[in-house]
Amino acid sequence: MLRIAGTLCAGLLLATAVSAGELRAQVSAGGRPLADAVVVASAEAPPATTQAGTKTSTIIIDQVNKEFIPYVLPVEAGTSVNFPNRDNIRHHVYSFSPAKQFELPLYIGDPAAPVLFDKPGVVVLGCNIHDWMIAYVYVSDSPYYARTGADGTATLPTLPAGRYTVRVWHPRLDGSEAATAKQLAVPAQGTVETAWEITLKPDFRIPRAPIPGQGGY
Amino acid sequence: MTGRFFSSTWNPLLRPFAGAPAAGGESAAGQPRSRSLARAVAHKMIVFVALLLIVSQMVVFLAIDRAVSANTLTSIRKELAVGERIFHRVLKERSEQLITAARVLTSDFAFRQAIATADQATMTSALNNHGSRIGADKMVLVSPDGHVMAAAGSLDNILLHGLANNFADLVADAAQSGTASAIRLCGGEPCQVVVVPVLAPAPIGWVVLGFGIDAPLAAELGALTALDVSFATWRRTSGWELAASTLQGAQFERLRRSLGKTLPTVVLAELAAETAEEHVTSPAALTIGNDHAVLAVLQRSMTEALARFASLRAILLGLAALSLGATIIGSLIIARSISRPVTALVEFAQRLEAGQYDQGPPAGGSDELGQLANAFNNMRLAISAREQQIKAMAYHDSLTGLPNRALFNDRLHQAIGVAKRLNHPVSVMLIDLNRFKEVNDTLGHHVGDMLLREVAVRLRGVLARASDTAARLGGDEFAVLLPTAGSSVAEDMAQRLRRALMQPVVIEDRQLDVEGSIGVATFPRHGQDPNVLMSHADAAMYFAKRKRLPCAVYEPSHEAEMDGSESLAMASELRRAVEHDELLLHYQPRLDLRSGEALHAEAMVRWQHPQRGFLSPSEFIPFAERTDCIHQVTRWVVENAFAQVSRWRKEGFPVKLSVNLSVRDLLASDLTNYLRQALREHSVSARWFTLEITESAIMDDPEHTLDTVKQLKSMGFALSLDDFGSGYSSLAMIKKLPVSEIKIDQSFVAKMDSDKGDLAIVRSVIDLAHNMNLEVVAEGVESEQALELLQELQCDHAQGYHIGMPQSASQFEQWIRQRPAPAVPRRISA
Ligand SMILES: [Cu+2]
Repeated sequence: MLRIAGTLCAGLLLATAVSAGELRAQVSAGGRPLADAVVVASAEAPPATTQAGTKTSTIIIDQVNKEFIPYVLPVEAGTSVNFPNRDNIRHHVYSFSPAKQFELPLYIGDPAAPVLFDKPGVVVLGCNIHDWMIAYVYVSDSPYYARTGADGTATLPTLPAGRYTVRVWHPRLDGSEAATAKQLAVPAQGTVETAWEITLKPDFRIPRAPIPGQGGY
Repeated sequence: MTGRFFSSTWNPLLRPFAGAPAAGGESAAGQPRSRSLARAVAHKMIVFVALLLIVSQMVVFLAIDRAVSANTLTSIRKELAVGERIFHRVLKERSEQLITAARVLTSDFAFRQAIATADQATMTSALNNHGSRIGADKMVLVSPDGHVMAAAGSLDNILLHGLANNFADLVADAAQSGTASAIRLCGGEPCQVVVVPVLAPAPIGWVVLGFGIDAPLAAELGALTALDVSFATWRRTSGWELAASTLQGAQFERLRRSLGKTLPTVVLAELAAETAEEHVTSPAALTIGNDHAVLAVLQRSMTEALARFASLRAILLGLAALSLGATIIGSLIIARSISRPVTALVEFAQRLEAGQYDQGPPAGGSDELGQLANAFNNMRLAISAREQQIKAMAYHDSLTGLPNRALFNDRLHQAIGVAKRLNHPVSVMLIDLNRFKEVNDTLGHHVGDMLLREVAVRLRGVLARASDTAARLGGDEFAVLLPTAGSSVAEDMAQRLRRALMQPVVIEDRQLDVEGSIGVATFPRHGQDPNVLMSHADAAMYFAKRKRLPCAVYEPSHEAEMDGSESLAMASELRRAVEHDELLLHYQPRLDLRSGEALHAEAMVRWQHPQRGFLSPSEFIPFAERTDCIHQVTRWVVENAFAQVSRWRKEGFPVKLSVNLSVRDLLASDLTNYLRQALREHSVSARWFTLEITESAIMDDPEHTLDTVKQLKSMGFALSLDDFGSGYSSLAMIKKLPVSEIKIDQSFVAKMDSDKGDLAIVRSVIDLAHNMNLEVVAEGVESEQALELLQELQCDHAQGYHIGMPQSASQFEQWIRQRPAPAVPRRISA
């Protein structure tokens, strides 16, 4: 299911290069674990080595049953994302977000080329045919990020020891992402835990158009 | 004495019957009054019924009107409530439609793309373009964080700058629930504002669209709600304004005025409380802020609603008028149907009053009026029958059944009236029976009555024609009216009458010869006037009697003879009679009921006339009284009476005599001297004589007569009041008179045993006389029963045929001698 193998790969690579600690973040909203939140850690002193080579790998966002999967996809800037259409109908994927504006006009199957997300920021994806289809690509400028699961926990496994600014973002985050920033130190070995309790804006999702014979989304 | 029975004047009692036409005239004048009374009753009834109906109709009308008004008001309020619901529903639906439209708009990819990616000018342009597509007047793009990103449409700058405040709440609302809509004031104009997100697909902004609330919308809403729809706006700065309204003209102005300058909340309350004169108003606040407000004013026109009932009202009024008219006509008919029979009855009653009994009452039904008419009719018949009876009694002689003097006069009048018009003669005959008095005196009244009846039968038998009338005028005087006969016909008729009368009459085995003297007078030759005609017939009749003719037609000389030469002739004849002793005295005995003796007699003069035969006093005394002849007659009577008493006394008969004095005797100044002298000459005592005077004698000159009578009394004469009861003597007069006895008129005594009234009179006279110490002599005693009755009544003396006839002196002597010894008087034995 998870198609984030690339990200995990990068972490493993880093872990082998330097000594690293683990950051485990717990995100909740209204006291309940919040899924699809992106936790990003930025090193105060960026590492000297660049990891441009790793950015060649392609990540995909599927369109299945007229939904984007995953709903939230954190990527490092410079990552290309492919939008394969698994449905037997056409989709028209677009984004007006300043971080990446693009349009994949009506297509079936794999689009001609993947989309490169080269600027950090949040890119909101929509389908011009199906208003309710929405997905977020979080383009991170830091290579350290993770997405919370259903338990609200995100784990950044191999962080080089050092001081980090960690932030959390969520599509419905009330307030700015910057406001969630925390300073913390990651030891060479062991796990640092942190937690956010954030407030959410109302869910502004457009209901699915009903399909004859099916109900709801 | 018979004269008092037939007065020549009209009997006033008969006038009502004779005067019937006059009474009819009066009733004719009285009729309109009763008609107007009936009409007045009808009018009153109509007025009453009409008023009642008007009042009831009015009540009904008012009730219905009020109910209609109330109903109208209620239904208007209902309509208003329904309209209000529709109004809000429509507004809501409209906002939903607008939202949908706006969402469709904002879903447009190009639009979203333009909004999301393009510059300000492009954004504004796209906004304007797309907003116009769905008819928005004002378009604003607001960023998710509340900044105005672009604006289009009729928006001024001031507004634009205030937009954030103006729509912030709406945007916040939309952020919560996806969309928002409200009615707002945009640049002074009321707008329906919708807020929809621009999704890409997360919200990248809010589009605020304003749709003007304008006259077309008001009209559409008005048509949908069937109400008058107005939108009023208020701004603190500029006050109230009527933005859009279906009202027009004066109504528009009125609503605008009623908005006034007060605050929206106050206006709301005022409008809601507005009395329903022309409109029922329901205001609704579409939005109220501190400095602005939009009101919807829904109104239902009262007049318009009531107009629907105007036709109903007209129908009601029409029905009321119709029923009123019908009622009035019906009442008129009913009133007339009631008043007509009443009027007819009234007219009938007036006819009764007028004495017209021939016509019955109007035919009535079986109702009360019919019964009344029946009762009236019975009354009419009864009155008619009674009147016939009275008429018969008043117009007919009870003894003979012939018409009496009144009816005769009536018919004479009529006959002369007719004769005057038709110019033909009318003849009257007067018939006087000769020597009837003698029959009466000698044979008794019942024989006389039978004789009169027989005469009547014969008269009737002779008169052939129905128009000829035979009448008994009184006593033995008859008259015949021949309405179309001239003198010669009348004379012929007179001859036939005379022949008829000459047939001997047999009464109680006695054969009586009846003779009559007939006088004829003819209109117009002998007189124009009925009374004159009658007196001329009378004169002719007397002429015939004197000349012993069967019949005489009037000539003027008859009267002259009567008044002058005839009386003189009579006087000279009487004088001769006195001188030649043609007079003689008869004596009628009278019975002393106490002692049973009959030693008193009344001296009665008779005239053995050489030509006419035996004349009773009534046949010549009246003549004598007209002249001084009566003195000679009286003196002859006195001389002879005195002489006779003197003779009888000498012979041993202690007889007393009554002597009649006439009026003239009493008035003569030398009466007392003469009597004194006579008493002396004949050597008789005044005590042996009773002087009889009549009531009328006293009445003529009461003082002088009274004087004379007193002197006579003082001389020793007994005085007797003759014919008591026939005249007019007052009790006071009797009291003054020094009489010692009264003689009850024979007319009472004769019928005493058959007539209770007469009996009562006799009884009272006797009682009265006894109370005044007077003795009573009953004349005309003709039967044993009468005598016995008189004895029972304690009468003192009795005189009459039953006791003794007037007879000559020798016969009287003989009568006394033959008379058995007086029986023991009953009264003493009793
Ligand atoms: Cu699609």
